[in-house]
Amino acid sequence: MPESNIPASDGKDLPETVGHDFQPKAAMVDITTMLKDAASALTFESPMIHTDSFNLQDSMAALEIMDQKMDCCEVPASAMLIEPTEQQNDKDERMIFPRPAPTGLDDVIDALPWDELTIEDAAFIALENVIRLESLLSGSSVVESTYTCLYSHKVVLEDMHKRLDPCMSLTEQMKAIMQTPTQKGTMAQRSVFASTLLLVELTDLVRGVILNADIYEEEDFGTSTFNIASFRRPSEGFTLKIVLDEISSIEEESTKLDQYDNQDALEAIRLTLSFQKDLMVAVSSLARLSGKTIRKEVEAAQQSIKSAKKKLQDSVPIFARLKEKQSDSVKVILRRTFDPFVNRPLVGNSPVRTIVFRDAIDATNEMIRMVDEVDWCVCKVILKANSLGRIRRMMRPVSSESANILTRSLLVLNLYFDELIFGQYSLPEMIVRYMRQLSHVPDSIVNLPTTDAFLNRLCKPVYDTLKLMALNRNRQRSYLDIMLGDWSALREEAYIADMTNHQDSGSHSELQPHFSVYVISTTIELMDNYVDLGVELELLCNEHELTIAYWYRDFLLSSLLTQLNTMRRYKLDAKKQVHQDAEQFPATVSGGKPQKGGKKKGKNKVSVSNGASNRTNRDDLSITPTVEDIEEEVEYLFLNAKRFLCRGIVRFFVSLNQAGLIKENSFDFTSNEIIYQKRFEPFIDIHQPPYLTYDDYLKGSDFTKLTQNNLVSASSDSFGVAKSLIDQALKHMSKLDPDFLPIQVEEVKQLSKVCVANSVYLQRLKQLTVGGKTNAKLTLDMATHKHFCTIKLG
Amino acid sequence: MNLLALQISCQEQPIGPHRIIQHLASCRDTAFRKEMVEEGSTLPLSSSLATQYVQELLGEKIVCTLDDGRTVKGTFICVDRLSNIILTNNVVEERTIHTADYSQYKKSSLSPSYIDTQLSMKRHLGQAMIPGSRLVKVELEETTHEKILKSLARESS
Repeated sequence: MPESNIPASDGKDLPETVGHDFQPKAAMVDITTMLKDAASALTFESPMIHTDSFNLQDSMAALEIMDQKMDCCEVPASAMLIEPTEQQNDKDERMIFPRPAPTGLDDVIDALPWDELTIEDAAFIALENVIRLESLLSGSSVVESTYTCLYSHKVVLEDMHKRLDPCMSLTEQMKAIMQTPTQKGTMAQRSVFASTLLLVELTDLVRGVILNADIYEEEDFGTSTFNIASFRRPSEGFTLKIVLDEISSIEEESTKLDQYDNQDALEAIRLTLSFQKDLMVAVSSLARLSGKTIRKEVEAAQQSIKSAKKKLQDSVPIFARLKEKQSDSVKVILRRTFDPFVNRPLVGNSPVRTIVFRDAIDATNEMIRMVDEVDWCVCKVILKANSLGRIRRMMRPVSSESANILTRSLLVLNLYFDELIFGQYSLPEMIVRYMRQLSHVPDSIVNLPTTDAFLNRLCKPVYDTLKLMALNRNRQRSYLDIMLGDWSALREEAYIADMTNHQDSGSHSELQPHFSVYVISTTIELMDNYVDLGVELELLCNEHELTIAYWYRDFLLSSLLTQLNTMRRYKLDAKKQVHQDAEQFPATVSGGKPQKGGKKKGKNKVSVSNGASNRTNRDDLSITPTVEDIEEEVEYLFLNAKRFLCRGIVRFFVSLNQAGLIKENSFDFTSNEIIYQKRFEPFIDIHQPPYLTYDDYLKGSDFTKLTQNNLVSASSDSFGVAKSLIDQALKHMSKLDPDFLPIQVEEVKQLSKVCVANSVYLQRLKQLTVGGKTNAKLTLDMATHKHFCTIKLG
Repeated sequence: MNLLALQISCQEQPIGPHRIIQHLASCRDTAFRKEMVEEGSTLPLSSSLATQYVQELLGEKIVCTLDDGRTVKGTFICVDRLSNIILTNNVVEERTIHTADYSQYKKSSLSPSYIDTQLSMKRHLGQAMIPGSRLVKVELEETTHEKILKSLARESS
């Protein structure tokens, strides 16, 4: 906190020897002339006197005092007015220091509204607090959001608490023992106190969740970054008690219809307080899940979230009505209560940022969306995702739709605790089940000690692939860089495990390298994700770079599909074998104990219960496809569709190149080959799939032997096949639970549009080349789908 | 007579640094001036000494006063031709504010008995640049100043 509120001695002339930090009241010597003489003696050849370590960065980092653009404590005086008048020329406008942080309700600068607060004022203050909360969750720092509310400062909250606590004095405490303590203060005052308490409580809660999840590096969410003292609650549950008391008080008072003219304002306060309370309860619960009652706690949190969302939705029309008849006095109160400049002295050398809050309706809608995210991104995933495949499918939208930082932090916090996935499932068992789902790993391999060891080894990398989806898109790409190295190293270990298992199992049949295939397929998926992200984040953006990206993706997706086909073949062979055995020896295959529920505690061990394995084997190998089989099949179809889409786009680009519609890049300091090497640098150390060089790309994309017509037809066929695969997948999708879809319906429509649009523009290209035109305008449109471009020809 | 001797002789009658320089110039200390000429310096004697002084000042804590009355304290690391100064190492800016600037909406500001209060505000910066055009005064602790003078005297002797 800036040191403040020390009255200056006479206010006009500061004493010559200014009290300073390094020695109290030390005698000072005026060296102004000396310094100016030295400065004026400097020349262009030697323009500065500086320390040896002084460098350009130091000079750039220094904040220019009094500069309006750099110095955040130069605030236009007109900003302090209730109704800003027409501003003078910017240069002439007087600049003043931001309003100092309040020292209490009776602040010397301006006493905060307290005695004069009305219910209408309290309603709008509560709404503004929700806007601050939304701003915090959208990425503003605490000084730019929560603490722009002057009531939220520690000393003010303490002051309010002192004035409103019915048991502050000894007399009041004695009265409280004898009878129910009466409430102090007006309803408006208590509502403002409750609403502000909730804002501070939620801020601290959000900060705790984000810091513990550790997927966000910056400290903007922390009050300690800015040395802001947070109000210390006197006891556990203090805030909740205050809020519940106030809500019931409002409910009671609102029945007295003649008492208050403004029922809308009362209802608005009640709904806002209830919303914040429900959100606080849900987030605290989700941040502390543990033990055997996880599902009940999550269900309760889900109910709180839904209730919070409903209350906020109900408040929207009420606030709209209140806004229409908002009085001028309310506007004055809000100007006095919320100040976007008050914390500027705390930000030090940070550049000037204009704080802009959303409009009330937009902020409320955004808040509703964020609250809804907690439901589908966290609660539903914890309750419904009961297999590795389903966890991945449910977390993908969290990643692709860039869910809020709070939501993603809650998801990561709960991803692995009490040594279980979501506190419920053993990770090695999940991996085994997932591998069985894909390729059927036989019991003879699952029960071996080397399998146990390798599964434990796999746990961390598999966990990382899940955590990856909770990072934001930019961080995902950097994290993938590291993960690719880990998975590449796993390949050899997987191969050793497969060889050892094959020998130990005494099997005379052909080696089926289940672990190797699994590790390689996961590696390829990560590689594909890496390239995909490069396109989404516009790191690969022009025609040439996109051609490379889609060409490489075509290769990666083809390799991935090869691996998946291998796994499907293993599973098919195993199915055939089991059913042949069943026909020959029906008695030996029947029976088997049902798998017991419950969690595996302690070290991550693979279940070695034969009964459990046998039951799972039969489920995996039944002729009738299970729901998870259909989910995997849909995912497979989409992978295939994307492969053909990439192929079609590459051929389209090559056609455009042949038609002379794409200009060749020319560089002075780099080359296409260097760009290629840089873009795929993380793949160099991966042995399988092998790294493709720039020469491989040139050979692979050389279609000079094909005529333009053939090339266009090949491209058109690729889009056609992609479209038909998408349509096929859509039919299966209708049978599935929407939460387990590998791709959202909206995205499916987008992919279809890309296929159709590109086919149409291919025909346009045909017309142009027939007509001999080479000057058509080429536009790459990523608006339809962020990973696949539509190539438009004008 | 070297600088240290001059300073010692002035101890009974302390004078500011600028006066010392003027005194040196007026003493026509041929040995000292000869040394400067031999070094090839084309600077006036006082400027050269001022430059040496400022070079010795690097890394010391100084207090700058600006034209609006605020002071900025920090460790001196750079000055340029326009007297722009860069300070670092927990720079503290202190200034006086007037409550009247924030009282546009305060009812009591309309009252004739309203008194404008002044408060001292401090803020901490990592690094700051003081614009030379707004610089009014630069101050240094006396003990540090004496230390620098002694150092200069040693160098010249």
